[in-house]
Amino acid sequence: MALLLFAYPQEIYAQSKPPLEYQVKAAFLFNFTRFVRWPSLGGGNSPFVIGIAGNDPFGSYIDDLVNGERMGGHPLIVHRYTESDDMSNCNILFINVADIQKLKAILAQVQNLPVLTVSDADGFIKAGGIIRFYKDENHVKMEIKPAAARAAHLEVSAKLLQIARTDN
Amino acid sequence: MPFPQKAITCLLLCLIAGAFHSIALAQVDSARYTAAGIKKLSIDELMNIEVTSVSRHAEKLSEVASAIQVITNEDIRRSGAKSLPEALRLAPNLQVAQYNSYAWIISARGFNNVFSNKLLVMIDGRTVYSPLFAGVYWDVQSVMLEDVDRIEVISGPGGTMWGSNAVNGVINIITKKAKDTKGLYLSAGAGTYLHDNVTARYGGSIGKSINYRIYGMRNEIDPTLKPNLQPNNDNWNLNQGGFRMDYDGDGADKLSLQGNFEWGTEHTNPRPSSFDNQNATAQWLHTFSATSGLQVQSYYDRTWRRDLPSLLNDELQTYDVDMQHYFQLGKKHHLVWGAGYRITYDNSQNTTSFVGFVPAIRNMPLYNVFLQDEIQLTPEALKLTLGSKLLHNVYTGFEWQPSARLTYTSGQGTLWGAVSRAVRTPSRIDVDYHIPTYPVPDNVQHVGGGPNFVSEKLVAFELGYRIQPTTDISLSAATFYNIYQDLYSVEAQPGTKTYLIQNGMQGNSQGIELSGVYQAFSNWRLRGGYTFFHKNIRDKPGHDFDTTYEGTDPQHQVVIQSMFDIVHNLQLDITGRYVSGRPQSVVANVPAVSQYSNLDVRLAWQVKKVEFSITGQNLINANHVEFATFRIPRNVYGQIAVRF
Repeated sequence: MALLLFAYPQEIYAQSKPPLEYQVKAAFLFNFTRFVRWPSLGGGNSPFVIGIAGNDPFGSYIDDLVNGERMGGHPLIVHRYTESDDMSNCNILFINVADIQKLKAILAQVQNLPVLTVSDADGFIKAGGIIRFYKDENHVKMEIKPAAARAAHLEVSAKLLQIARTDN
Repeated sequence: MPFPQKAITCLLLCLIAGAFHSIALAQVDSARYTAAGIKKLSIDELMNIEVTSVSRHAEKLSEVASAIQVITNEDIRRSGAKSLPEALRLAPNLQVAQYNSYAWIISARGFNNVFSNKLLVMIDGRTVYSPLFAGVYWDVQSVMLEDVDRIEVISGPGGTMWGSNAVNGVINIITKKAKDTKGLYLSAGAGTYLHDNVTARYGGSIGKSINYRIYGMRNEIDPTLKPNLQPNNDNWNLNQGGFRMDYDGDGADKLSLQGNFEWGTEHTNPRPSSFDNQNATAQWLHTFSATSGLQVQSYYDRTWRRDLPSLLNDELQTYDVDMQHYFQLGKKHHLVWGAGYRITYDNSQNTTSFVGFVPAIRNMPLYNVFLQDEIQLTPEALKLTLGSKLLHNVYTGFEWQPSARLTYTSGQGTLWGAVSRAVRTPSRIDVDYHIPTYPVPDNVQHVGGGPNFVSEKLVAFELGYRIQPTTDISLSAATFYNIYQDLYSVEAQPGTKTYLIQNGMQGNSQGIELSGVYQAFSNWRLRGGYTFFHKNIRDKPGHDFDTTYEGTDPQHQVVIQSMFDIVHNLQLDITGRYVSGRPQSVVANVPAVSQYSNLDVRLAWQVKKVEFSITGQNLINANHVEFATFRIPRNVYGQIAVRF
């Protein structure tokens, strides 16, 4: 069903590449599929969905990146949500909204669901998010809240916890 | 037996010792992070991408088309190594043999002798290969290991990018940027062979764009043992200090300035020898666009050795300026070209007429240009790299060092092959070395330098495969077949007792280098490798010289390093190595050496900002021989380190 929901025509993203910072973040989102375990991913060929809520900073770059990739038997797809969409069907959700109230509303939608929430926003961890990207000396680093991951029934690998700043 | 005398002199003189461009890892720019490419990067590699400076980044290790090994800061710290040569033992593709307390013999792909003259070594871009002795003075070339970011070791020819003398390998020692060494670091250690060691560093920043550090250290090392187990009066000390300052305003320009000085005393017979060194390096990096940039570097280095007080003093001064420009041409060509000029002034003061350099003073200008084109033949998969360096030196004029490399990347693996030519250009010890230093008639035995000595030449064929089957394992295999021409010899002119340094030998070598890293658990990391080496050296028709002069290399070598966190603040680290035996060399006056295995063990306990550690090095035997006759004692030392 997620396949039906492509909100934007592909051509809009074609050709252009996002800034390197977002190329790296896109790669991180993809990498999370290997370092986080989801409780169940549905049956058969149902897709594994990387969702983007709010403004899309990646463009077609992230579609190219996950194109042809699978998580277990599940094909990876990217889905862009508008505010009014139901986001509970995604597995990773990158939230890119500036307004903290809107951000909290999105987090509330997926609360206690096995959705790995990710954002750049400053107050994201405090608001209940799981992984926050931040920039440190020109590098993209991340902050993880293990308690929030546990509440979402997600198992984050030791490797990922090791390289991230954890917020207990 | 014409040469024991000379050989002994060599041993004494060649207190062995040993690069600009962060290797290697060739430059690539952000525009090349295609979606398909970036997702192959490991999570650690992603974290290391500099997202606002797009000019250069390290190529993914598993896709580099050469036999490269990287020793990280953590590998070094957890090995317990207290000196650069000890840290280099961690590279399975290097042969490292300790000769005495302050002299080391380090080579790649064999030729491990007192003149290990086919390996180029650079510290933050500064070449430390001596054009006097054709090798590296490992005692003078020291760095504060705590502030080393990584050591890149390439076995195999690197002449196209790095210049002459990178025949069998290149070592790049890269220290951390000043922004990565902020705060105070203090350490003090003492032990049974490492007499004592004190280190201090402070790093800070001025405004947003300037970071700096200053450091100082002192090492005092005890003597090795003679064959009769009496102390071998070769204890020594090293004092070193320096600074580094980096400017990075997040704009198109980055600047880096560093300076180091060191001095030390070594116990030699009949009186102590001493050395001092001062060097300064400036680097400027300018980014034009995402695909093009310019690097300009300049350094000055002065080394004074008051060696063998009865024989020789030497002052060597080097001025070097070098630039590199990289850019993209069309979609498929990534070009790098560069040019460099170096002038070396050598002033050797022969304090005896028994042996020395004639003429005493020599100026050695060296200039070079190079061009390399990396051609993407098919998207992602097939890449061809063609390049050559053209250099001009004072002894042999123009020399060229071309190479061709083909890389095929598929899935998690990279298959690569290369054909390269590299040269070792003459050093003063090849051309100007006289015994004695005054004219002698032909019927009296003497060495009259190498007036006709030309560069030693290599054509190398390499084939390798790297694979990272899972995020936890990476493996690499490299094989090579090397053909050498015009290797060094010292032979009497027919009908005379005049020995001249010539190019009387040739030969070939083969080998296999296997290595790997395995993250067994999040708290247990293993790395290591195995190297097989074999060579056949023979005299050229009409020449006669003992071929063992080119090194009595061990055939087999194994290194395994285990880094284990028992609990989060308690580390147990073990490094084991095996080196097979070496035959004797009559001409070099070195006896056969038996095979040996050894073990280094480190236990470290972290209490907040303080780290207590106890390390045992060369634990298996009370002492052992690695090269020639001196016995290297077991060393057990304790250390306290504080990081604020």
